[in-house]
This record gives sequence, structure tokens and C-alpha cells, in this order.
Amino acid sequence: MSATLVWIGVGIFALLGLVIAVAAARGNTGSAVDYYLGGRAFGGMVSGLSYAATTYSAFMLIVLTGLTYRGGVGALGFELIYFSGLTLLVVFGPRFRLAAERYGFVTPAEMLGRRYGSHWVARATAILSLVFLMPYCTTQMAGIGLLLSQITGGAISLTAAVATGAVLAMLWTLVAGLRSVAWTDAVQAAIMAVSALLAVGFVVAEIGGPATFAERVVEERGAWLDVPGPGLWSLGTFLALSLPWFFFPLSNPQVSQRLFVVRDVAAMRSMILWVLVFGLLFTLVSVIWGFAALILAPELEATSAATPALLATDAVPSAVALFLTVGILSAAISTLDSIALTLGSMVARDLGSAQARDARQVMVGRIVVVLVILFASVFALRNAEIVEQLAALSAAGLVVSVPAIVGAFFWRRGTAAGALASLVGGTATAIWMAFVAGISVFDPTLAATVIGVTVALFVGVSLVTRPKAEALDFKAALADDLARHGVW
Amino acid sequence: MTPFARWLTAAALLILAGIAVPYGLMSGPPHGLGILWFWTGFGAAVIALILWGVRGWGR
Repeated sequence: MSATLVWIGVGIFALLGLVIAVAAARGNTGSAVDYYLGGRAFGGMVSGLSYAATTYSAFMLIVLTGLTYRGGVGALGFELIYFSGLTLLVVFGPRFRLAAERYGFVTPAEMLGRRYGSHWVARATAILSLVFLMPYCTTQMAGIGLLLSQITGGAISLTAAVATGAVLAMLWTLVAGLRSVAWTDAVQAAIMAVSALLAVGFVVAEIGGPATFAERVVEERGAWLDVPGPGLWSLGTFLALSLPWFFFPLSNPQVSQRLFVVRDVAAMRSMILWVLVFGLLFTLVSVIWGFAALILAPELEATSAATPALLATDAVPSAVALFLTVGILSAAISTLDSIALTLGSMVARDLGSAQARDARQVMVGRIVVVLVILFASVFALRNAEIVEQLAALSAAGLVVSVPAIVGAFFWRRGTAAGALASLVGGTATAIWMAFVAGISVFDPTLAATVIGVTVALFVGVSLVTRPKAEALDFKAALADDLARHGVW
Repeated sequence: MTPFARWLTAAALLILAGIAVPYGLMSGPPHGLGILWFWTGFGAAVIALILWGVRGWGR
């Protein structure tokens, strides 16, 4: 694809995003709650599409497609077990929302800190998020670089592509915080869904329609329709990847913070429905796209090249290929800016002070947003091994916050010492296993051990220590609200 | 059994089935579209389960 055409597409996309971001900024009052949570006033559709665009990143049409290309239908199962993690929202969604409203929480780390009566719990959660999410941002940035560079045959350099992604992500976050992020996310989610559907429609038509496509996959790539398939998806690998990703809605603060932004529980219900429809649709399209690449662009050495290779075939018209490129760019930027904003809020309130003036909290957050995106850009270009390993470890690393989150709502006996021990001990275990013992994230021993150690530390240390006097009792405090809203 | 306990049991069984059925019952030749259809149905069942879970909210 010509670089000029790609620049025109990206330019139109940037202009559209800028108009939306500036329009969204009109509602801002300048308070920290407004900047980081949009004043807790979002309806179901915008918050749902924003949640979906934050969750479903460039991973889908680059990595998941590549995993399908390499290992077959197991990729669909893995992604749908992750999708089934959304059931956690039925239990925890309203609890997060009601607790945040009652006590004024802005970040999930702040919620844990106040629940257990310890600022150190909040700090540890914030540091854990920084350690694992900054490298994760790097993978999004690298995805933007590889996509634009590969699709133009190197005419757009990796540096120019990464710089473009960085400028857009910074701009849309800095203009109006979550208001601009959520509205641009919503539009980007629509671009992702429509462009992916269109593109997959063209490739299936090129193969001869759905029936011929299915026949050819069965005849030519039958092993890819089975598990473990051609080798990648052994049960061990499947569990190793699925287990930590199942807890994503709780463990990843950039999505759990979205539970604070809806205006009421009814809007949250609508938000969840939008995420469900988008998630299932986008998952199926990404996997079908991978199977189509197997038919139309076989024998690729690097599976991450499946999408650019498919776009380079004659099956997809240039305009649709350009639209999908913008869709993948959208997926990466919407995840990147949401993570940067969440990390900004955590540094401002959990590592800084939630009592600081609003203007100071917003300024600190803006500085962190710039630094996170610069970090992601620099390391996307440098291919630092430690950053890549931390990014791969992010799901298993962030899962250590789950026992403390579950305990916050369902176990009064959970203590600050137990929460802190589980956060620190779990993180240390994950890092030791991956970096010292050399255990791969594809080995289920890693996720199982990290989860086991984390739960044992949380329960064990809580039982031998006492809850702090200043700890909050969510279970009692929220009981009436939950009953009033019809939540189990 | 309370409605929540029933829902939780259904969720646990569904997710377990999402792993056990393809790997235990459907794995192996002849290769067809069975596992693909099963997991697509699994995704739809997850949506149905969540709809069941949120149906009383905000009323």
C-alpha cells in the first residue's frame, strides 16, 4: 500500500479524533474526578464502547490472528475463556461502582488502600500496575510501528509510525482526560468493528463464500480445527494463557477503573451488554481473519505478519485495507491512552496524595501520561528484552491483585498485612519464576504457582494479623445499596 | 439454593465445559468444524449467562 495513501487515512483519522476530543473537553470542570472519571456521568453506550476499545487492543488483529495462523482454533477457545471473565462484572461491577460513589474513589488502588486502611496497599497496587502496564504499552506501540511499516513495505519507517501513535495517544489524553479518551475510544471501537467486518467479508468472498471457505479450511488445514492442533495449543499452554487472562476485568486497572465512570447501575448493565456484543463479534472476526490468512497467504514464517500479508493480497480493496489499518491503529491507541491515563491517576493519587489540589492532581497525571507514552515509544524502537518479558508477564503479574480485590468485598477478615504480603510476594514470585528460574508464560506452572502463592499469602497473613481500625467494611456498607439496585 | 448460588454454579460449569469438552470429548480426528461451532456456542452461552446475572439491576 502506498505510504501517501496511509498518511491520508491517518490524517483524516487524526482530524476526526481531534474534533471529538475538543468537543468532549467542553464538559470539563477541572476537578480530578472530572479529568480521570468524566465526572462519573457516562451512559452505557459510550462507557461500553470505551471499555471494549480499551480491552480489545492491537493484540486481536495482530497477535490473536497470528496465534490462529500458527495454532488454529485453540486461539478462539483461549480468547473466549478470556471473554467469559466478563462474568466477573456481574458480581464485582456494581460493587466497584457503589463503593467508588460512596467513598469518592478515583483509582482501584485507592479503593484497596482505603478498604484495608493502609496507604501502602494503595502504593503497592500502583507500583505493580506501573511495572507491568508500562511494558504492555510498549507492545501496543510496537504493534503500530510494525503494522504501518510492514503494510507500506518500509516506506513508513518504524520511527515515523511510532511517533504518529505517540502524538495521537498523547493528544487525546491530554485534551480532556477521560472525556476525550472515552469519546475517541467509542468512535475507535466503531471503526475497529466496521473495518474488521468489511475486511473479513471481502476475504471470505475472495475465497468463494462462507461454504467454500469452510470446505477449504477442513480440506487444507484440518489439523488447525482441532486442539491441540498443529502443536501450539496443548492443554497446558491453553491453561497457562487462559487462567490469568480470565481475571483481566479485575486485575487490569485501566478496565476496572471504567466501572467507576458510569452514572448508575442501570447504565452499567447497558455498558456490559455493549462490551459483550462487541467482544464476541470482534473475537470471531479476528479468528476468521487468521484462518483466511492460512488460505490466502500460506507459509509465512512470522505469524505476526499474517494481517499485513493478507492486506497485501488482492482480496481486500485498497480503501478497505486502509480502513482496517486505521481500525488496528485505533485498537492500539485506545488501549494505550487508557492505560496512560489510569497510570497517571494512580501516580497522582496513590503515589502522590488524594488530598492534593485538583489542579495539581491533573498536572501530575498529564506529566505521567507523557512519560508513559514516551517510555512506550522509546522501548518499542529499542526492542529491550526485559521490557518484552515484562509485557508477556503482565497478565500473570497483575493477577496478584485479585485475592485482595475479592477479599475486599467478600472477606471481612482480610487485613492490610495480608493484602500487602500477597501483592509483594505474588509479584516477587512471578518475577523470580520468569527471570531467574526461566519458566515461560506458556508453562501453566507459572500462573498456577503465582495464583497459589498469592492466595496463600493473603489468607495466611490475614489470619495471623488483625484488620486495621481505619479499614472500611464494604460488605456491611454496601449491603443496602446492593439490595436496592437488585444486585446479588 | 439461592438465585446467586444457582448462577455461580452455572457459571462454573459453563467455563469448565468451555475447556473440558473441546479437549476431552471433541479432540482428535476426523477434523471438522465441531470445535469451532462449540466455542462459538460457548461465547453465546456466556452472553446468556451474563444477561441472566444482570436482569434485575436498577429496577
